[in-house]
Amino acid sequence: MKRFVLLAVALVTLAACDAPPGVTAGPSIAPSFAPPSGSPPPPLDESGGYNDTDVMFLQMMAAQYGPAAELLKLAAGRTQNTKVRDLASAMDVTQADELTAVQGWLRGWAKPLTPAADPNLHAGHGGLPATGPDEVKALRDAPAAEFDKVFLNLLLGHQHQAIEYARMELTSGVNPKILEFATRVDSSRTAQVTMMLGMVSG
Amino acid sequence: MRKRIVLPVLSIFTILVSGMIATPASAHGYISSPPSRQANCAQGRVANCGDIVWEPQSVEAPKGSMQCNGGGSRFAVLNDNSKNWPAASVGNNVTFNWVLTARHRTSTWEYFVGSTRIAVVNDNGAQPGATVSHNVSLGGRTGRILVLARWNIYDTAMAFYSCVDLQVGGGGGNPTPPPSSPSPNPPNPPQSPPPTNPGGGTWAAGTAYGVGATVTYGGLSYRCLQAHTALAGWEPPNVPALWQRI
Repeated sequence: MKRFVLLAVALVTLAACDAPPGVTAGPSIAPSFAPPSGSPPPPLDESGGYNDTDVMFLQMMAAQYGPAAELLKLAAGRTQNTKVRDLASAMDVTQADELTAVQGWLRGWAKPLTPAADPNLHAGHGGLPATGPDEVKALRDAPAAEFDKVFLNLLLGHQHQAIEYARMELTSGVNPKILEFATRVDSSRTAQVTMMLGMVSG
Repeated sequence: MRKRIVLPVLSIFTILVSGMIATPASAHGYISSPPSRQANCAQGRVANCGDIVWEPQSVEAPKGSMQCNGGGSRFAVLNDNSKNWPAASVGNNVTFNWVLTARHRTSTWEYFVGSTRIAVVNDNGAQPGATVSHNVSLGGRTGRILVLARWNIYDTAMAFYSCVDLQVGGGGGNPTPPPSSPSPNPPNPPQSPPPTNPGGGTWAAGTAYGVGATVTYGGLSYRCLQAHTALAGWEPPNVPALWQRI
C-alpha cells in the first residue's frame, strides 16, 4: 500500500518537472522503446541535470541490490541446475557493478545512498524493497528439492520490481545517463524474467 | 533552488493524490507455474499479448470477477480463449506457485474451474509468506481445463487474477500444443550444461557463451570472463564483469 504513495510522488514529480520530449506521462502506460542493439550506447552526458525521480530511482535500486546479492550467492552455491547457476552467477557480478555505479552517481550528487526513511513513504509491509530478510531466510531454509523453485519465484518478484522502478524512471526521469541505465535495467530484467519463467515451468 | 519549491508542493500533492488513487498502477502477483496465461505471455511462448508482457503481476481488478483479466479495463487478451494458450500437462493434484512483488495482507486464495470453486485457502488477513504455493485437487476432472485463481486482498476491494490452462490426466492426454514461438529456454536435464558458443562472431542476445569465448561488438573485440547466456542489456561494453576488451 505504501508503495502507492511512492508512485504518487513519482506522479507529482512528473507534474513538477519538465518531462523530456517524447516521454509519455503516467506510470501505468508502459513506454515503448527499442532495446539497444548493434551499437554501443552514446557517450553519457556527465553534466546533465537531474530531478527527484532520478534520485529516487537510484536510491530504490540501491536498496534492492543487497538482498538480491544474498539470494544470488545462495543459488550459485546450492543449485544443481547449470542454467540456474550460470544465470545467478552472472546476475550477481553484473549487479555488483551496477551498485557501484549507482552509488557513484548518488555520491556525485551528494544524495543519500538509501531511500528517505520517511515512514509515510514505505514503512511496514508491502514497502520496498520486495526482498528482505524473510525472503533470504525462505531460500536458506528451502529443502533441496524445492530450492530452484523457491529461488526463481523469489527472484522473479525481485526483478519485476526493478522493472517497475526502471519504468518509473523512464516515464519521469530527466538525466540522460540515468535514463540510459534505466533502459538497460528494464531490458536486462525483462530478458531475465523470460529466462526464469522458462526454468520455473520447465 | 527549484527543488526547494518542489518539495513542499510534492508533500501536499502526495497527500491529495494518494487518496485519489483507487486502483494503483503498481503490481503484486501472479502464478508462475504451472504457467498462467500472463506467465506464458511474459515468457514469449504466446505472441501479441500487449502490455501484460511487461507486468504479468499487474492483473488487478475489483473482487468477484470470473474473467481472466478480472473484468478490468486492461489485459483483455487474457480472456481470449481463441489464442493458442499452451496447456501444462498435470495429474489430479496440482501445486500452484505464485510470484509476489508485494506481500499484501490476504483474505483468501480461490481456485475455480468453470463456475465451481474447487479450492479456497483462508489466510484470515495475514500477510503471506515469502513464497506462496497451494496444492489443489482437480476433483477427477480430465482433459483440457481452465483454472481461474483469485488472490483476494484483505484491506482493499481488489483481487489479483491468474488463469492457468491445464491438460489433466496421464497417458492418453493430448500433448501440449506447440508454443507459437520457440521458448528460448526449453527444459533440459539439470546435469547437461547448455551448449556454449565458441565465439568468434558478433555478440548476439540469446547465445550461451563460455569462459574464453570471443565476440565482436560495435567494432571491438571482447573475451567472455564468466559463462552466461547473453541478453539485451548485457552488451559487452555495459557489463565489464562478463566481458573483457581484447
